[in-house]
Amino acid sequence: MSVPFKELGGSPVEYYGLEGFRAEREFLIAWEDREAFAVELLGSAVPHGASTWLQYPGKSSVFAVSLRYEPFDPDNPDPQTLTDLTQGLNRYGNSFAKATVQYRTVSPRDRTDGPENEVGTHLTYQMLFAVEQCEITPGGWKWVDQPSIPAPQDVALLKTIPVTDHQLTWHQVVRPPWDTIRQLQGKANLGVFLGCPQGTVLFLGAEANKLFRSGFDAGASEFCWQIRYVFRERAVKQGGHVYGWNHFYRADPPGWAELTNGTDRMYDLADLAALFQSAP
Amino acid sequence: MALLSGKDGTVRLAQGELLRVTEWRIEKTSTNKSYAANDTGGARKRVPGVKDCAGRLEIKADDAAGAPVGEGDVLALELHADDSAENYYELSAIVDAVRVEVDVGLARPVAYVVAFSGNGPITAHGILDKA
Repeated sequence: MSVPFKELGGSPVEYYGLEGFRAEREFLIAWEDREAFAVELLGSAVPHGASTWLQYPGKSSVFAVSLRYEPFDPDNPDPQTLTDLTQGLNRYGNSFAKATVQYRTVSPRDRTDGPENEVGTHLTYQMLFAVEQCEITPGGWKWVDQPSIPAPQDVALLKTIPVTDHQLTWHQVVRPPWDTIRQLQGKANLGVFLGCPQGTVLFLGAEANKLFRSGFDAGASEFCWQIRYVFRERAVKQGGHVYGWNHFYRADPPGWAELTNGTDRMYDLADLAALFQSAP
Repeated sequence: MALLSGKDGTVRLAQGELLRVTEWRIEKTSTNKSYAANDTGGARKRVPGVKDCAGRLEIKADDAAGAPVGEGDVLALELHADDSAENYYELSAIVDAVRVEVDVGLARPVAYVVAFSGNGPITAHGILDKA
């Protein structure tokens, strides 16, 4: 059953900007309903899976993301004796709690060519770049204007290899796939991932941030996780070909080639989409 | 809001001192908080707010004594509406201002007007109590 509420005059306030649509609404609720109202708005990481944030009326991609309470009439707390800081708290039973709710546009999935987001979660994407230097042995290289003169054998040739860091942040995750993260860290993509050819994307690792969802009232607080996965794309482009993490430069015959040790490769390949499936 | 005044009543301080009061008045207030919301029918509604009171005493000056109270004094007041000792307000108050009225013909103060504000809850007795 929904918590009874009144929406105050002056609410909502809406913004349209570069961050997309956002809004702020103000409500009055009974002072003792604060906890239930927070759960209703922000969801609860219940054992059976997360319930999603409550959406803004008429906008399916705008959700309540934060909530602030204050006494509607701060000058009128209930008369009571407070003697213990850990047990006593002002009450405002004769008045209301004023709730200010922030709404933000939350895209369920920024990259449609990336992994799927599970229901109740969403994936945001950020792209960064970096530069690596790769030393090329001079064997086989000659000057274009004087092909009879080989490149100096005592001089290292440095090739600059731009790399791209793909950061996918997975929000509202109740059961992170800890084992999968451990198993896939250091592996390269099997098949196309984020549009990148096989073997060109390396899973560097994950950062997990615990976020409280709602109340602090009963035992351990309910929370969910925000997991930032970092993948590094290394695609050496040379001679019309693309070489990935398992390719290394060979002096003789010169060029990029894949190394193996029996059936092993330098970087094992794996389906990186498994990182976005919650643990059972 | 209630505005009550007592003429020919008395005012008793905590020490039992009976002031020669010619008039007193007190105004009891509630600072109600108003709001307009989706369910208030296009009008403002209110929730009861914090209670307060303020008042004024007019005291006849005594030839033999100075001003009975000073500004900033905290008083335990009984404001009696009559001499029955049954109908009165009981409160703690703080003196906001003392006005001294002097008759220059007599060359002495003739009255003090004391403005005060409540310093906690007020208790009404007798006919002054809410029915």
